Amino acid sequence: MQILEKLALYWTYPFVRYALAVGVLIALCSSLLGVTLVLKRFSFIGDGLSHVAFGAMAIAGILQVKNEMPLVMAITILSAVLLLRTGQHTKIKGDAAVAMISVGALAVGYLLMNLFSSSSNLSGDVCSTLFGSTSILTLSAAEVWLCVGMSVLVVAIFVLFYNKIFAVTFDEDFAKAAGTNAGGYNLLIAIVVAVIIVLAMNLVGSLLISALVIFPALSAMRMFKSFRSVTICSAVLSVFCALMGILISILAGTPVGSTIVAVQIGAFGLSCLTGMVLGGIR
Amino acid sequence: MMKRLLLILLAAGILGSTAACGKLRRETAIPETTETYITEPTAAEPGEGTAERVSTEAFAPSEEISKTEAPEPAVVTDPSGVDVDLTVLSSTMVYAEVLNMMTEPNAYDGKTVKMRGRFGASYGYRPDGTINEDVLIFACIIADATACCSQGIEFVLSGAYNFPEDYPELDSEITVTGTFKSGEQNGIPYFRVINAQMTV
Repeated sequence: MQILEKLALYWTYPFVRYALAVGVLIALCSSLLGVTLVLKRFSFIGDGLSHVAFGAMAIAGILQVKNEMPLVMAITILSAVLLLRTGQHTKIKGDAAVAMISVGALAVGYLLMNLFSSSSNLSGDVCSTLFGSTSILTLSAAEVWLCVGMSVLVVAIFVLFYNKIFAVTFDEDFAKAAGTNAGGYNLLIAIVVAVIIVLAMNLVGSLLISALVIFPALSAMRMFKSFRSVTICSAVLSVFCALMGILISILAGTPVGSTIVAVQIGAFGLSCLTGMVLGGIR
Repeated sequence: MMKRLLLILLAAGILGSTAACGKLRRETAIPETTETYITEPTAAEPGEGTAERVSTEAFAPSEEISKTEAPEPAVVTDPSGVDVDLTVLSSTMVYAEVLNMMTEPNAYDGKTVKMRGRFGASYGYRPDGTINEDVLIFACIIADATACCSQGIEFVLSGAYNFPEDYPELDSEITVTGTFKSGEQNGIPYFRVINAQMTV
């Protein structure tokens, strides 16, 4: 069967359209904040928070919470605030705090799932949560709408507070001296990052979320220099890679999350080459 | 600030229309029915070595199969009129579609389903949870792209057949075509493919 015919056939399946819509939205949101996180040296926070979300999902599963999203979101936001706001002023510094929370949440989550889970397919559940598996293709209409709402909120916050986020990202001390409420904006960034992480778990799973956050930003930085152009390029690259990854995975029958990341790695390589050609080797 | 607000509203409108499109297609493509029936397929244990092990844990009580002589062959070569053809989908798509069958079985009731996977057989269970060796159930085990989350769909062949003579080797690849039936038993929703025909 030709690729186009196959795509036309797959397009008739609602879950494919849901996956593409949600994939694009998550990729867009993660790339927007990705530039900020990379520049603030918090590239690995996505990984840490996703493991926290994994632990929170385990707790929600044990408590048999019907809609686990609010609980997972609350715990992840709390962790993000602790890491991003207070991480720099505590005895345990940023990277150590992220690493500690990351592995701690992962271990406790898996332990709890093993001790209390009633699932007949525990390994499958864990695999699906960690690597995304095909959960992006199994979204309900309600989950799609929730994702649409959250994504619009994230994009709105980024667009409305673009200048402040820019200021806090590049020089927090100067922003404070200029009267900007840097603490407040860091809190806002932490909350938005947590929301994106929880949403992105559906797309690529816990272990691969960092790729969504850092690859588009790093690829864009190979080719552009200004914050604005890097952000725009990062968003375009992220959306393109997500679309390509989802399409390739459903056509070739490969896991969605890892296929998206593989496409992003390819895009990063091409961006490096482009940057070299443009004379912007960095 | 005003320009940004307008931009956001425009983006929200576009995104909203995309999601609404998906919902409409779902409602028109698969009409709901209310008929009820039996069976409880769940995800099979990953990493287990044999189909017997997979099937035993994956399926709940079913009707007892006949142990009389087979009146006709269990294999067909060219089934037609298929509504849900899982054999033309990639493994990723098959996994998602089968999961949809599990979560919204009523939407597939009465549809003719064609699927390909490994043959599995197991004993059924009594209501108290103990294994019932008088009951055999057969399933088509479908693996997903990550190979961690196999899913089994029980099938019942049309006609009466003896196991193991009239069935293929456990774990061999089979293609099954039959009518999807959903329902619930003891408050547990499940489904099976009935009036099935099987090719090896």
